[in-house]
Amino acid sequence: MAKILVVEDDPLMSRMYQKIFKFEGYEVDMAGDGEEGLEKAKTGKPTLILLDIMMPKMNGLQVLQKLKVDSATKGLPVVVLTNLAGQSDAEKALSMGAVKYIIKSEHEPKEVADMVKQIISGYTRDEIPGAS
Amino acid sequence: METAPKPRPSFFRSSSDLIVLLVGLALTFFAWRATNQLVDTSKHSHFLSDVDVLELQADSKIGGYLNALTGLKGLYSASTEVERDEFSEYIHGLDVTENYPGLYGFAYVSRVADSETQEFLDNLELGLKEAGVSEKVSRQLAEGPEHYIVNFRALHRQGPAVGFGYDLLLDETRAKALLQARDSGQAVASGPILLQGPEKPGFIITIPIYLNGQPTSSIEERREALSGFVNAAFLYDELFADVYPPEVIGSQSVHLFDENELIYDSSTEDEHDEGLPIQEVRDVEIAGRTWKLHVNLPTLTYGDIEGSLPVLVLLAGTILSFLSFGLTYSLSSSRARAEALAEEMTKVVRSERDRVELIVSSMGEAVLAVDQTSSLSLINTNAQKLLEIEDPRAVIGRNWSELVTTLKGEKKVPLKERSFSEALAKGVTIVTTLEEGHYYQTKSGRVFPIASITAPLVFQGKVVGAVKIFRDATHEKEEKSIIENKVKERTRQLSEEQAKMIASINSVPRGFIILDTEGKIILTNSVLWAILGIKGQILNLVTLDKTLSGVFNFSANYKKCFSEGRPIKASDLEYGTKFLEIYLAPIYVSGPSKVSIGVVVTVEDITERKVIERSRDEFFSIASHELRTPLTAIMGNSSMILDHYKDQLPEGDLKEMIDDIHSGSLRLIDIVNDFLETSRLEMGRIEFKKVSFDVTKTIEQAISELDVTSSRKKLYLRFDKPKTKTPNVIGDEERARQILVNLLGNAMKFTQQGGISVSIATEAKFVKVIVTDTGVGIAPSQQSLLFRKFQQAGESLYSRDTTKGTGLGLYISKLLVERMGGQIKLESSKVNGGSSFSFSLPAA
Repeated sequence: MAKILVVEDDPLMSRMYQKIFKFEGYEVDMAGDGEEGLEKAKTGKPTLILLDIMMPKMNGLQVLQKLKVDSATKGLPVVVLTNLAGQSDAEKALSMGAVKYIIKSEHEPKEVADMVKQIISGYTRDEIPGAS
Repeated sequence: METAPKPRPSFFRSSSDLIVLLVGLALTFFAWRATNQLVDTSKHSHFLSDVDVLELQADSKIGGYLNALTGLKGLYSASTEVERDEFSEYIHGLDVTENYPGLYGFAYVSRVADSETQEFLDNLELGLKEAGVSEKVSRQLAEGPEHYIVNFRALHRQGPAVGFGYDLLLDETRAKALLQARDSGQAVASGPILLQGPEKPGFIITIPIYLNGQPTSSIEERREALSGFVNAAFLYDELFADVYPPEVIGSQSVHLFDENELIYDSSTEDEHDEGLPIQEVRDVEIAGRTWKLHVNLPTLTYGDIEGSLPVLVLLAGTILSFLSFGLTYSLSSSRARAEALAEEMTKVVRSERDRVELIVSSMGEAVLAVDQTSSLSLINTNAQKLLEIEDPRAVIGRNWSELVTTLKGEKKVPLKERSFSEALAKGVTIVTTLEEGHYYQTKSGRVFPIASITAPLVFQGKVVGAVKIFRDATHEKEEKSIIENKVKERTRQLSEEQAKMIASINSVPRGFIILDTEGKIILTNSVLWAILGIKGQILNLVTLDKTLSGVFNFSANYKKCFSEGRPIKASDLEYGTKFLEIYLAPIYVSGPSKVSIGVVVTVEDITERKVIERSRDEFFSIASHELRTPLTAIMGNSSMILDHYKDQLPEGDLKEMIDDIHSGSLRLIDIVNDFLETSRLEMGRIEFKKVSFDVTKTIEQAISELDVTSSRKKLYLRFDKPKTKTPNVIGDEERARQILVNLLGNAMKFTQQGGISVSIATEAKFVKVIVTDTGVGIAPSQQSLLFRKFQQAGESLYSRDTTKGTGLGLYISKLLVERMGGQIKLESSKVNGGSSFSFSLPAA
């Protein structure tokens, strides 16, 4: 079963995305800050990481950078999910290896789940949950 | 006034000699003034007046020689029986060597009838022997009824004494001069002759002498009355060496011609001056004869010597006048002759004086002369007028200081310091210019400014009097003061303007620099120094560049601004902890001239502004971010309830409430997004791509996105795609789509029936996208506010249609279009007749 790691410090967001991915049939792991996110990315073997940018301890871009230099994690698809709407932030994230840059407020949770589903299907067709 | 008393010795001694002196002096001043004027004129026309001076030089010098000759004439007019020793005495008294260079000698020529010739010559021979003169008497005679025989002769230097008894009619040139003098009664100069004795070229001036009491008004009467001649012989080279000394000639070369014969050449043998580029020819009239004066100049120059010429002329004339005076005086030793001589001299002098007085009185200047005791001896009519003297005889002989008071400013000038006193005491010429502020106060109390020249009269090294020429300078003074006042007024206005300007410049909270056309700093204000945090250093472009090194290059920007003639603005310059904005603009003088006279620079400290901007910017960003997160939670959770707990939700109020929560959050997110977008656009924080793209694709994409919405409202939404290929545009495709979506969204919001069409118009350098609806339209009064911030086409704040957005849509679209170099506008609109908006983008 595909496993989504949600790295998100804000509990409102964290819980919301946890719910939608559960509804959609994914296994969900949670991390409350950048450091924890990086740790869980290494140990938890997620299929895909949803990464917020503004976070304590280590911000999303720093986490992304570290993920991409570690051979164990650099193949993991990372979707940046944030409310920072700057075009430059998005471009930076993509250039650092993120698969997609999603602005939270512009998309319903279902839409986010649909996008993630599409991305995962490009990576590991087998693990797409609930082939409904 | 009583008639002139009979001549008495005392009269002669006291008046006649004085008259001679005065006339001489008057003539001299006339010459002086003329020379002075010439020197003035020469400042305008150097060369011509150089020549004028040379011409005048000949005139005045030889004029002086004539004076001496006139004295001799007087001697003979008084009595035909002039003794040889008297003649010698006279010549001796002239001190010829000293005062009359070039004068070789004098001769008295007697008219002798042919029949009396032998007796005359015998007597002459006897007389010479008695006088101890050993010369032989020439007995050569011309053919004719009478002979003009040299009777007395006085040579001023050693040399063979020849010519006694010589009949001057033998020589054609001499004869011509003598006959002309006899017939005209005037002094006549001869053509070139070889002078006997020195055997050198020269000429004679001859004056006819008529018998006393005989009428001489016609040629016949003069021929009848002729008693003889007085001749003066001159050597050309010595004479002209005196008339034209090297300091007068300077770099010029002077040639004199009598008819076609060269009689003088100033150039030395090794000089070749024929090639000199500039030549001026003048006529010099000498005792009825005309010499041609040729002056050649290598270049046009104005030498110092001319400045002193007037003085030279004055002195020369003065000396000559006193010679005549001394002569007259010495001749008066014989009383009987003296009286006759006095009459003769008086006659000559009177006519001379009349002439001179005419000249002197016609002069614009006032003329005064005093003797060594400061007693007035001459006053012309102008002087009388100015000094308010009704009868000149009442003041002649009175002390000059009684006539008029001299003031300098308000103060009376002490007698000792007055120019006459100084001229007499020191023997120097005193020039009082207008600038010295001298005034004369007359008896009536009238005060007027004067300009004057006072010159001493020197005779044999002693000051014997002084002459003053002055004029009323009221007019000049007034003109001058008018000009001065004008200048003062202008200066005052100018300094007031400057003060105003400086005050204005100092009161604005910006640093100010004004640079001239050379890039030199001509004005700065204190704010500049404060902003730049500098003090006490020399400020120029170089030091400014150093101060602002790496921040702003003043020199380069000054050059650019000045040469291109347009303003330059540099903002957000980080200078230490400050932010600066520097603005340069060329300065033009109002009027048609389009030449810049410098550059004005303002330096503004925008740190505070930047801090506010930045904090506002950060506030907006953070606020937007922080607002959006909880809103996303509301939106996301409410939509998940609606999606995943549909079964547990009874149809009705609860579902509706959750629906409203969801759409409320959506609307709020839109508003927050608009605010954030506006803020970022205004800050210039949004980067625009500059790529070429096909706008028709953008339109098609936007229409497909909004198709659902339009069909829900039962409105048509179509694209009237042109048949021909639309040129690509340059810009940010995503931003173009955003603009289009905004326009389409607005159109749909305000249209209830009909629909929306999109069309394209290709213009010269732009591609225009037009969105036309069949909606409510916009009233003209609202149209101007359309693209303003927070403006809706509504009536007022209270009538805002809050369901229709923030009013930032068109404002954002406008900022976006303009950032891409295009334009957005309302093409047309009619209330209830639909609207047509357009935006253009530059064609690729």
